[in-house]
Amino acid sequence: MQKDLLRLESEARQRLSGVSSLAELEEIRRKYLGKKGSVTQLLKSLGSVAPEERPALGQAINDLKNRVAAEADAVMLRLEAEAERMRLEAERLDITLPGRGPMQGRRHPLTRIMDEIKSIFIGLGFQIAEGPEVETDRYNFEALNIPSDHPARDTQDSFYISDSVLLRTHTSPVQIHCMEDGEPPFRFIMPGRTYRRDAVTSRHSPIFHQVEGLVIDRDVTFTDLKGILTVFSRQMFGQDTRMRFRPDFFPFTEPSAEIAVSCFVCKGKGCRLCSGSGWLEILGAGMVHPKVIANVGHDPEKWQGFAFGMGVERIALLKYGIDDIRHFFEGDLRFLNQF
Amino acid sequence: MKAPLMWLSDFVDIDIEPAELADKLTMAGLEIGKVETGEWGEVLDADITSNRGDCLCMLGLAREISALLDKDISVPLTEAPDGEDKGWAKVEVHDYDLCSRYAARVIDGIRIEPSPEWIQNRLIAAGMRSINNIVDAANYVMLELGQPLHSFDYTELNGNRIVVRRAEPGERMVSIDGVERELDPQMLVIADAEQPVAIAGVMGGADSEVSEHTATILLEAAIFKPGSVRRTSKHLGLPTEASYRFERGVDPDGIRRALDRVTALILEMIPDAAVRDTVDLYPQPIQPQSISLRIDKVNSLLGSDLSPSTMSALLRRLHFNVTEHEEKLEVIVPSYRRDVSIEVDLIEEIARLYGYNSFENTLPGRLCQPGGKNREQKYEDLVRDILTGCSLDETVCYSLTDRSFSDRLLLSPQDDLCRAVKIKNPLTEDLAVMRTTLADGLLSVIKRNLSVKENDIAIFELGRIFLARQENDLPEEKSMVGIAARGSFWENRWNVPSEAVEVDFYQLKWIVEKLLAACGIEDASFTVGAAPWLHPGRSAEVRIGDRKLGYLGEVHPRTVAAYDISGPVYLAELDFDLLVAAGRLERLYSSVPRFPAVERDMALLVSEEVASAEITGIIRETAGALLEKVAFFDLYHGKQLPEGMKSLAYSIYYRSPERTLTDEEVNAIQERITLALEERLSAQLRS
Repeated sequence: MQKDLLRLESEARQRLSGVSSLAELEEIRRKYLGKKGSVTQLLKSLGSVAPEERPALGQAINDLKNRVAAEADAVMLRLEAEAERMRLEAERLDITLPGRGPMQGRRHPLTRIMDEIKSIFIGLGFQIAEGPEVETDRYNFEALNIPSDHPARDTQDSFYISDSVLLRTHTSPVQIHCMEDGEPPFRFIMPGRTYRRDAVTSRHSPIFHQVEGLVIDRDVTFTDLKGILTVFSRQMFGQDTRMRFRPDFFPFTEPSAEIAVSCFVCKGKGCRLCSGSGWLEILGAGMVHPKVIANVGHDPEKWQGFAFGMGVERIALLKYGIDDIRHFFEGDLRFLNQF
Repeated sequence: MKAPLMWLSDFVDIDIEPAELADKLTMAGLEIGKVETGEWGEVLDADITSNRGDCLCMLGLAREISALLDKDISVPLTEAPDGEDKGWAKVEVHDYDLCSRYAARVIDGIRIEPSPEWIQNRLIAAGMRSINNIVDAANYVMLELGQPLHSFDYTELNGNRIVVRRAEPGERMVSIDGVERELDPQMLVIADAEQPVAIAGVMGGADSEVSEHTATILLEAAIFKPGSVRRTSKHLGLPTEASYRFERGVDPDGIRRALDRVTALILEMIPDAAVRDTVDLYPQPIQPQSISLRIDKVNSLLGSDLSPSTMSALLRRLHFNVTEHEEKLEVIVPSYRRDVSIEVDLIEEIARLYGYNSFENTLPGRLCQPGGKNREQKYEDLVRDILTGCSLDETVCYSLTDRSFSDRLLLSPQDDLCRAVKIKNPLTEDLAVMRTTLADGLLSVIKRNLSVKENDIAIFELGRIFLARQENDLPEEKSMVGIAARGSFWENRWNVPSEAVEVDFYQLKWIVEKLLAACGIEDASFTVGAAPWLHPGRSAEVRIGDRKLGYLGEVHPRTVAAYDISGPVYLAELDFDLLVAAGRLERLYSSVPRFPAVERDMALLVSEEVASAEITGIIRETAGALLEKVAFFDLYHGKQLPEGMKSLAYSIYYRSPERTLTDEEVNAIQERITLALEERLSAQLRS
C-alpha cells in the first residue's frame, strides 16, 4: 500500500510538472483530488484495511493529498503569473514615443532675473516699491540733482510728452517718490520699465528695465553699500564672485561707484563675455547726495544712505549668454521656450 | 580723450608700466578704456566723467597721476609779453552773467604755415588733425591746458572790435563748418562792431576765420557759462571740442597761462610775430573756495576709521590746501576743481584716492523691517503662476507703438482707447505713441511667430497701458493682463483629435475662469458685448459687480486681416488693478462632506436662443439648499433635433451635510426643476 502511495504521488507530480494550461491543471486536479479522483478513492478504500493500520495509513494518504494539492496550487500560481505576463506583454507600449499633454508656459527671462533679484533683496530686508513710467522733469532729473543743461543728461536722451513730462530714463525717480511719501528709515528696491531715446540695435533698446535700490537710515555707510552689494552679487553670480568698486560719477550720489563682478564664465581670466577684462560692470551706486535728501524734505545731517541701480537686460544677457537685446521684446517662441 | 604718455611726461615723472598706470587711473575714477601703442608711444584712451572737466587735458590727467603716484607735478611757467600798443584789442562784454572772463590778445606779423612736426605729431597722437600753425597752436594748448582758444583774423573784425553779447532775434551767422546758423537771444555770441563772428564757446564764424592771408590775429581765451554753452550747442546740434569743455567747466584761473602758452608757441614758430595788445576783462574774480571737513563726518559716512593726518595727506596729494584743526580740516579747493563745492565732495576725494576696495564690507543694522512684497506684487506672482500653468508663455512687448494701431483695432475716434499719449520726439514712427491696450503688442507677437512657422501660440503679458489726460498732466497708467492664443496648447498631440486641442473661445474662457478662481473672485459675470476688435458673436465682457474687468473673445476677422495673420485668434485683457482690488487670497476651510452626493443627469431640448446661464439660473433658483453644483457636460446640434433647437445636458449634484439623501426627495426636486424649465423656457426633457 505504501508503495502504491509513493507511485501515485510520483505519477501526480510528474503530470503536474508537465502542465501548460489552467484547463489541463484542472483536469489533473480532478483526476487525483476530485470526488472520483485516485487519492479520494484511496481514502474511501481505507475501510478494507486492518483497523490498527488505518490511522497511520489514513494519515499518509491525507499527507499525500495535501502535498499534491499544494503542488497543484503552486503550478496554478505559476500558470497565472505566466498568463498575466503574456497579457501585459501584449499591452507593451513604445516608450520611446514622446510624452503628450498641454505645454508648460514659461516666465519671461527678464521676469526670471527680476524674480531672482527681488528674492535676494527681500532676504536682506528690502521692500519693493514702484512708480510711474511717465514722469515730470522734476522727478526724473531736477530732484536728483540733474539740472537742465547738465552734461549728465547727455547719456539720458529722453522721449518727451511735453516740455516738462517725459518717459522716465531710469528708475531713480522712484527713490524720490519713496522718500517724499514716507519717513526714514527706508530700505527699498524699485524695479521697472525705463526709456531712452536710443536707436534699436543688438546692444541697445529704447525700452529696457532697471532695478533701483535705496537704503536710508541714521548711520548707513559706504562700507554698508559695499557689503550689501557684495552679498547681492555673490547670491546672484556665485559665492566665489570677486568684487571691484571704483569711483564713478552720478549727480545724485556722492561718493559714487561703479561696480564690477568677476566674470562668471572665465572667473576673471578674460574671455569673450567680459571682453577680455575679467570683469563685468553690472551696478552703479553711491551715497545719496545730501542735496537729494534735502530736495525731498529730509535733513541730510540726520539721514544718510546709499542708492544703487542695475540694468535687468544687461544681467539677463550676461547670465544667459544672449547675444541680442531685441530677443527680449520680440516674443519669438523659439527664444522664449529656452527658459 | 586720448592722452599720449610722452605728453603727460612733460608734467609728471611716470615710472610705472602703462598698463599699471591705466589700472590706477581707472580705479581712481578716470576710466582708461585701453592703452594704444602707436607711432608716438603709448596713448591712454580716457573716458572722463562729466564732472571732471579739469581732466580733459594733459595737465589735468598729469595732476591725477601725480596724486596717484604721490609725485610732484611740474608746470613750466610760460611768459609772454602783453604788448605795448594799447587800443589794438577793443573788447566789450555786455553779458557777464554768461561770460565771467574774457581775455584777448592781438598778435601781428603772422605767417600762416604748417606747424612744426613735433606739434603735428602730438596733435595726431591725441586724435586731432593738423590745420596750420595758428589753429594748431590753439588746439595744442587746449589739449594741454584744457582752455579752449579761438583765433580771429583781426582785419576781418568790423571796427577791429569784439562785443560779447546775446544774439539778437533773427541774427544769422555762417560757422566755420560752412553752415548758416540761426541764432536766438538766449545764445551768447562774440560779435564785431556789426555782426556775430563766433558762437561763444561753440564755434567761430567763417568770415573771421584765420586764412592763408591772415597777418594779424586776435586770440580769445574766455570763460563761458557751462549751461549756456550746452544749451546753445544742443540747440544748434553742434557739439565741438570747445563746447564739450566749457559745458564741463574750465578753470577761470587758467586763462593767462593758456594765453601766454599759445603766444609763446606762436612766437616760437614765427619769430618775427609781435604781440600788440592784451586785454583781460574779469570784473568779479572768483575767490578761492574754502570747505570745512568734519573728521567724524568723513568716518561716519564712509564707515571708516581714517585719521585726520591720513585725510589731509590724501587731500594734499590732490593739491588741496589743507589746514588741520581740532575736529575738522579747513580745505581750500584749487580753482580748476569746479566739481568740488561741499563737504561730501571732499569725502569722495578721500575715498577715491584711498581706494574704494580698501574699505571693508559691512551690513547695515538698526532698521527692523521685514523684506517682502506688497499686495500688487503678490498678485503679479499669482497671475504669472496661473497663466504659465495654463500653458501660456510670458512676453514683454514694447509699450510704444505706431499711430495706426487704432485703425487695426477698429476703434472709433471717440473710443476711450484713442486717448494715446503721443511722443513729441519719437525715434521712429513705429514707436510714436504709448499703448492704450496690450492687444496690439500681443497680436504683433502672433504675427512674428507665424512668420517663422510657429503656429501654436499661447502668450500673455503683464504690463502697463497709458491713457492721456489734460495736456500737461501725467497720463493715467493702468496695469493689464493680456492673453492671446491661436492653434493648440499641446506640445505633442499625436493621436489626439485636433478639435480636442485647438484653442477656442471656451478654452480661453477656462483660462480666465482659472485666473479669477485663483484670485478668489467668485462673483464675476460674463455678458455679451466687448471690444471693437472682437467678433461680436464670440466675445464677452467680464464684469465684477458693475465694474468692467475686461474682455475675452475671438478676434474680429478684419483685425486679424489688419495684422496680416491667420485666424482664428483669441484675445483677453483684464484690468490687473481691479483684479487686485476685488481679489481675495485668504482661504477658509469648509468641512469635507461626510455623506455621499446624489447625481442626476438632465438633457434638455431648448430653442437655439436660450443661453445656458438661463437654464442653470433656473436650476439653482428651483433646487433649493440641497443643490451642490450644476455641471454642464454636453451641447448637441443635429439632424435628430427639430429645426432651431439644441440639446444641453447637465449633471446636477445634491448633497446634505447631515444625512444621505433618498431617491424620493431628489426626484421631487428634479420634477420641480423640469416643470420650471418647461414653463419658463419651454424646455423639454430628453430621455
